[in-house]
Amino acid sequence: MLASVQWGLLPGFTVIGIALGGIYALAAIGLVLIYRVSGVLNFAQGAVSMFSAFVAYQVSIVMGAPALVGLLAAIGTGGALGYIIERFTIRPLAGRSALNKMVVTIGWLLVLQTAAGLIWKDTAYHAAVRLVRPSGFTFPGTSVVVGWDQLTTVVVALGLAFGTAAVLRWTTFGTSMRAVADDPDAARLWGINVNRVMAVSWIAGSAMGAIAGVLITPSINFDPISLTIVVIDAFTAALIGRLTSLPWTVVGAFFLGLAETYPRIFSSNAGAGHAVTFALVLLTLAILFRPGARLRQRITAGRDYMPVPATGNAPLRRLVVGTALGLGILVPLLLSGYYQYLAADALIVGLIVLSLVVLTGLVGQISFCQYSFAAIGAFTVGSLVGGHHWNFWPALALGVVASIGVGVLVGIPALRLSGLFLGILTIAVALFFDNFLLAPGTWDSFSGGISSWTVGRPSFLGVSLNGGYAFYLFALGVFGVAVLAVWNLSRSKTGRVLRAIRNSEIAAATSGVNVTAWKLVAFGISAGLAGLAGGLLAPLIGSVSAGAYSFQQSLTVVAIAIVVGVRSVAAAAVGGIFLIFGPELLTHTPVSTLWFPLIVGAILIVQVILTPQGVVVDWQERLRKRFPPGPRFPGGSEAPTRVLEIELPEREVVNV
Amino acid sequence: MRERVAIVFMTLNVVATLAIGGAIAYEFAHPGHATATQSAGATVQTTPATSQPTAGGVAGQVHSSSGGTSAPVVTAGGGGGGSSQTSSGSSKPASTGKTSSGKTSSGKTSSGKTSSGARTSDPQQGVSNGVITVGGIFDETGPVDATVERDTVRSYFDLVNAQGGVNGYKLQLIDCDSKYDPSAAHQCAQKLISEGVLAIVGWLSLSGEQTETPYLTGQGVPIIGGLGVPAEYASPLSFPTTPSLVTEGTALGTRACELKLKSPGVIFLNANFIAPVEQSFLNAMKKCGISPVDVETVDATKADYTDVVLKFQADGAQSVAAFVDPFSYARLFQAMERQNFHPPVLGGGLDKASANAQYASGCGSTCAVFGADSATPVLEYLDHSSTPAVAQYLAAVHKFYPGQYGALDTYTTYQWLAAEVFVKAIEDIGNGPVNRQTLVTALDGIKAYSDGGLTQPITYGSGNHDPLHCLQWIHNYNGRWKTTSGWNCF
Amino acid sequence: MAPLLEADKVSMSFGGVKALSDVSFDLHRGEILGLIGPNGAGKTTMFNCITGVVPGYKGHIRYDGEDLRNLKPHHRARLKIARTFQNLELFDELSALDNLLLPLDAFAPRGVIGDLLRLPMTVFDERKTQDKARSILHFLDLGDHADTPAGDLPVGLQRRLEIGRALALEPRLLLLDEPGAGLDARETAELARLLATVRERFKVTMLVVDHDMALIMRICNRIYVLDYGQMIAEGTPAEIRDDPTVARAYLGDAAVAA
Repeated sequence: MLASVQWGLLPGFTVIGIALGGIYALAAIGLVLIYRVSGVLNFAQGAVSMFSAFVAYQVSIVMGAPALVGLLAAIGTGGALGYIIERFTIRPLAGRSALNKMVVTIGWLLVLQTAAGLIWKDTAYHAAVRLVRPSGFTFPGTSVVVGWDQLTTVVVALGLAFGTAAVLRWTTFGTSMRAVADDPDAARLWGINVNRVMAVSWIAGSAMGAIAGVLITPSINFDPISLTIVVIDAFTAALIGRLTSLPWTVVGAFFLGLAETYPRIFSSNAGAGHAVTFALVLLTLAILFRPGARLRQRITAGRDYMPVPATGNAPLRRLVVGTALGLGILVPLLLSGYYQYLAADALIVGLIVLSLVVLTGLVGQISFCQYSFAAIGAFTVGSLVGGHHWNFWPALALGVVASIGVGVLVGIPALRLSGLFLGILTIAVALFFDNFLLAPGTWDSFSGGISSWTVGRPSFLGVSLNGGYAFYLFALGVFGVAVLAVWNLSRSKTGRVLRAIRNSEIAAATSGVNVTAWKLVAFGISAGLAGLAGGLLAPLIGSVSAGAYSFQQSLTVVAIAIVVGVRSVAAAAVGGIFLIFGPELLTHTPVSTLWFPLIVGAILIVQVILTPQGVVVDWQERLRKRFPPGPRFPGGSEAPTRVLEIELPEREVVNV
Repeated sequence: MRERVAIVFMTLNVVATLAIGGAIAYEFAHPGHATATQSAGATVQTTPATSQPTAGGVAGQVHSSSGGTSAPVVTAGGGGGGSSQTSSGSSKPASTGKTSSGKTSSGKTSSGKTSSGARTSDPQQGVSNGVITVGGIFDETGPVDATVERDTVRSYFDLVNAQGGVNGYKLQLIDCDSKYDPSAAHQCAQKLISEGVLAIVGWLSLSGEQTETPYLTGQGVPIIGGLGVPAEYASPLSFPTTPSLVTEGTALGTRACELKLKSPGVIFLNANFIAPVEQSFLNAMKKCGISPVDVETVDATKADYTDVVLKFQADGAQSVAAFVDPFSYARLFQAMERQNFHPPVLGGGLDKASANAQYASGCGSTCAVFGADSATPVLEYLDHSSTPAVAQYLAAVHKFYPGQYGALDTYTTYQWLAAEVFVKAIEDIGNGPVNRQTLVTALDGIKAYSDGGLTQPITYGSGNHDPLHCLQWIHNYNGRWKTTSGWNCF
Repeated sequence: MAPLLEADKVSMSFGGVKALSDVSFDLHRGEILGLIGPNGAGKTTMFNCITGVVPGYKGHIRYDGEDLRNLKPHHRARLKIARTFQNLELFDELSALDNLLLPLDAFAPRGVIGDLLRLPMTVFDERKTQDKARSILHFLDLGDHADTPAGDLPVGLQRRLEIGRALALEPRLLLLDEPGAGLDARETAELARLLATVRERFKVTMLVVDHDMALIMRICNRIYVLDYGQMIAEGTPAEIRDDPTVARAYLGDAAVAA
């Protein structure tokens, strides 16, 4: 019975798989075009698609216009968004590293996603615009019904892919696009209007994303988040196409769709989560085994770096830290229990920002999965304390060790990847956690399944941490120790080595630095800090469930860390306060807390653009003139700087 | 020029951070409303001045960090955490979500007055200044949209407030978004407690109700309404206004027998309360010899049901019995329609009007929802719109939250009932002090309340409460739901 | 005595292009060997092979008799092979002093805990390595710029610093990839003097790649010439200067014929 059932399902599931592949292909085409021509991995592609689809919804469903009109409105919106993003927020970044541009697109992702949620409500409950009827025809020879809309999606995907490939190959404009892709400076010298070419690629890519959005939304949950997630599958498909070949991207997309669908034949728990795992595994493989030299990577024209001032002014620093500490101890005494809770939360989140300071600030590796490491800490504590009645402290220790271990594991594939692809890998890890590891049915004794773990407050050295202030003080202590440790680290030999790796991996290697081992150390420390934070969040909140450790959270914390300044250890506290008290501040204004991610995204975009080295160096110089530096420490120590660059080793080895 | 802009921008950054710090300072400098937490069942004395002891911890045990009731330190209340706004229609002054106990309004004395025996407000339990504040936890964002349940409760409060309130009190609901996540639900519970709500009135949190009911009970907070998860029938402080989902499972199973469903494919939502419901449903079907060909559990985020349909077809299912959230049905039906799979459908909670429109979009005469059967423990609203109780309900929502009118369904009716039950209890308290204890006593004393037949009569009594056991069958005739039976009781 | 460095029929291709074809040469202790050739001849590739930055070459590279294949770059550095880079790979953010401290730092992550906790022993070790680094800075006349971020220094000083960083490794073999690029005549002369002094003082064997003929002729004991990945000539500076094959490689047939 089982065997015959499975074979019988195969044709039907093949149709599902190919339809799904069509969706991924559609989502990927615009992404590939934009990357190919402008070298920017557009994280906001899904958000642009989603926003345009919502515009179509507004026009066709809410206002009742015909579906085609909605589609045109969507295309217009998509193109306009693409132009705006490129012209005003990418073009000013010319000469900066590709990662900076990627960070800007992340800002746009937050802005667009939140805006859509605010305008159209952040729920899955929107009727999609149907361009084509969902009814279909029976595939000859089987009992499978192929929907006209599914067929349309596949056909449009193929059409756009091959059409774009043809344009790139055989038209003059396409040739200039390829020239710009290869070397914009040379192209400029040849008289090609590089700005126009870039703009066109973004407009076209976004418009195609809009078409994708409208065609895809009937088949998925039509909410502000889902399309962004679809983009991850699109990334995988694009990577299979080596981010340059559109036909191969389509092939990759179909392969992915089938690979995600077939396992559902065997799983009786028809959960959505399991399927995405395959996307992620494939993503990882695609990144890892991509041929390094053949993928086009921009060789940055200019170097971005943030010079580390030789020393800070010790007395000034002591004054600032002392004051902050004093305020930190005294002020919460006067706050309500709820605010004490928020303050402790802010410090613990500050630990996560600190983990990014280590990874991104020191080593220059970006990570979008810090909350997944935190989840390891949290769920270890949750399952051991809540499920097996362990004492909190050994559970916490185990959680930290486990997260260090996982951090190193994630670091291993990361070693071969440069900034951009490392970022994608960490997204894959985050989604892996969200959709598989922590999803009900996979490892319920760890994740708690569909229930959450309950964790009570422990006692520390005999003092109960039940009270709001008690726990807060404890969190302050942990945070202070962590900050001190990381600060020591940054001033020390380790800090030097990590920074050297960031500046020039190859020179570090040939100077005797075991780059692999050091990077893994950095990952381990970073993941350990995040795991510690998660382990502390468990008793703070009192309950552990996956929703609090999602990819969205990781994304937001990266955005905030960049806004606050990743190179500064002091940034960690500010970042935590910003993330927790920011929404709190909003409740006192007429503006709803739902605006918070949008505000963060907007600040992020502006921050990345408006931070030319000159101004910050200028500020530092002014500070240094005002407060002359004191005695030197070995290795140099840094004064906290507010707003900083992210810079990554982009250059591949230059051959010959 | 760019430099200048950048400098300005960075200055703004610094200013913003300082502003956040300032907001915190502002918070503690200005007296807010009560933030104290209560241990279960303890009565709170009325305090003679606008000062309250600082309350520590919101989680776990409660203790007062200053050790006495006469400490002059003023605590700050706050909103935040989840997204919470308070508004109850026309009668509230500010959107800041708290009342400051320093103000007087409409002649009511501030919490500074004590009067034995006479009405006294207790700011620590959501009663202050002539306003009763209650809380609600709703999955407002995420795969489920429960804002309509929130607004239903608010509609009733607005109605009551417009008529002068209840016993001179105005009503206010603070909501908190549980985001379809148990941790967020827990944080909501903590936050609402710290804001000192009198009770939870109306909640719809698929992920949170089962886990937070024991927590709230432990904190002494009465709960009225809810989805009907098992935990709500196991607490003396929980006052449900619907039959338990386990009862509904039995009911639907029995209905399956009556309809003589053959070889059903069964779908259940993956939720932390679903297991006993599944059990009762399958057991009831077993009694008449029906056993399912396939049982699938799905997540609320599942977008494409084609694979489920294909499996059902391959397994030879001749009917579909489902218990998922209203939003998932549309996607199920879409897959069924595409695959030309039109067996009889039995489902719980199928009657959401706006969902119906989605179910029915583009499928012409072959919509899967046509001919479907469901059950409801309250009068089917669209079918009884002229019954006075139903008319009042529809009119109120239409008046105060017209945008939500299309989203009404059986679940929203329970919340309306919850609001009504709450108000009735307040009425019953009469001139006495309003606090959690007196509220619970009044609720326990409710007998045979049926709001003009909207529901079967509700009688609580002391101890755990399980007042309702009856449902009516409804059937979908070409898009309209019609009641096809009287009350069937289990 | 066996050569310090021996390349034995080294070949390397990148995507169909043969960067190196059967290149063989010897480098003896104390020598300064020059490696020249037109652009694209494979010189930097050769360096990359020697330092282990690009794996996958065919043939053998032996250092002190030991085959270097399979040794990671940091291992080779530990064997006292140092290099500078054509495009200057300084640690721009770090101060000049810190740039020099790096090769003296631990080879593997040791002492991370010590760093986290700022143990007195760790601090003491740091002071020692500082002294060494400062002496090299002084030798290179960069003492005044010890705390300047390397990225802020003028190109001439940066080149010197890069040599300094290589020297901080206390190398036996020093590979210099276009050390004279971007220097004017005066600076080049200074560089030549510096390299001679370095060889004297530090007893280093050097392999130099550059385009500046004057520099090469001046400092090298022997010269190898590469063209299109193949070795086309070898000899003393005088021999190379008069070799028509070399002239043809640089200037093209027409020029030589003329």
